[in-house]
Amino acid sequence: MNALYQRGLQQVYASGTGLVQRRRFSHNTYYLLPDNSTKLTPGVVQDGYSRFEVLIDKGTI
Amino acid sequence: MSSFFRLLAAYRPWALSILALPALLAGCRHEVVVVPAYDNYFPVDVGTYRTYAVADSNWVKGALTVSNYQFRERVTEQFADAAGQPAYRLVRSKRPNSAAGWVDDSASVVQPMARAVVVTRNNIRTVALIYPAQPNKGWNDMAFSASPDTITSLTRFYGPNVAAPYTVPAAQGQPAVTYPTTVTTKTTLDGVSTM
Repeated sequence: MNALYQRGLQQVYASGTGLVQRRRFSHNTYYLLPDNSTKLTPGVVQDGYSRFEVLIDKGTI
Repeated sequence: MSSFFRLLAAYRPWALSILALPALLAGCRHEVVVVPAYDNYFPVDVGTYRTYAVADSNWVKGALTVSNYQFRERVTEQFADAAGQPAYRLVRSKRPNSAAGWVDDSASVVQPMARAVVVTRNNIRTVALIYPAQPNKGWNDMAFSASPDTITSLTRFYGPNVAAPYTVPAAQGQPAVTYPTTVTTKTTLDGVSTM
């Protein structure tokens, strides 16, 4: 088995709207991969933490 | 006509000055840098809010626990920072579901500038965006950090597609939405490394 670690922050901004999606992985999030697999096809996350945020509403208070 | 030239000869110094005036003015012209209007990927208007569906995923020895809740960020005020530049306060609130009440969670400050958007959170200033957005363009999001070992590194990058459509997935009962003009920012090397 190989291990693949994923960390960092990905954010998507829409023009005129602002942040519409944010995905954050903690530094210790890692996957266990079958042999000969690549990082483009991650396997099962073993330990770690992620936060996924999606814009669902916006307006004026 | 000849009287005109006699008059010009009489007032030759003045005439030369008048003729040279446009050239002098051109030499003293002040260059004004006009920043083009870029797509506004981080609008901040007092009184507006954005609500996010949040899913926290926690894995322990392969066992996944997911926690769902909501964040709301609202722009509560505009003020001038110590340098006199406009800044906006964002207050983040949290609630467990759409039926519950909001509870303020934290605050941050956003400063939209002509060439960048700077966000201050937990007393740390980070550069969220730079303008103009360009494919794979990198910058140092900790450019305002006092840490000398990170001050020169490129720590954020635009993705390969700029001003491209992007569809966010459905979440917490809300349908998927496609935004026609988006940019994606990411950590160095896609945030992925193999061990």
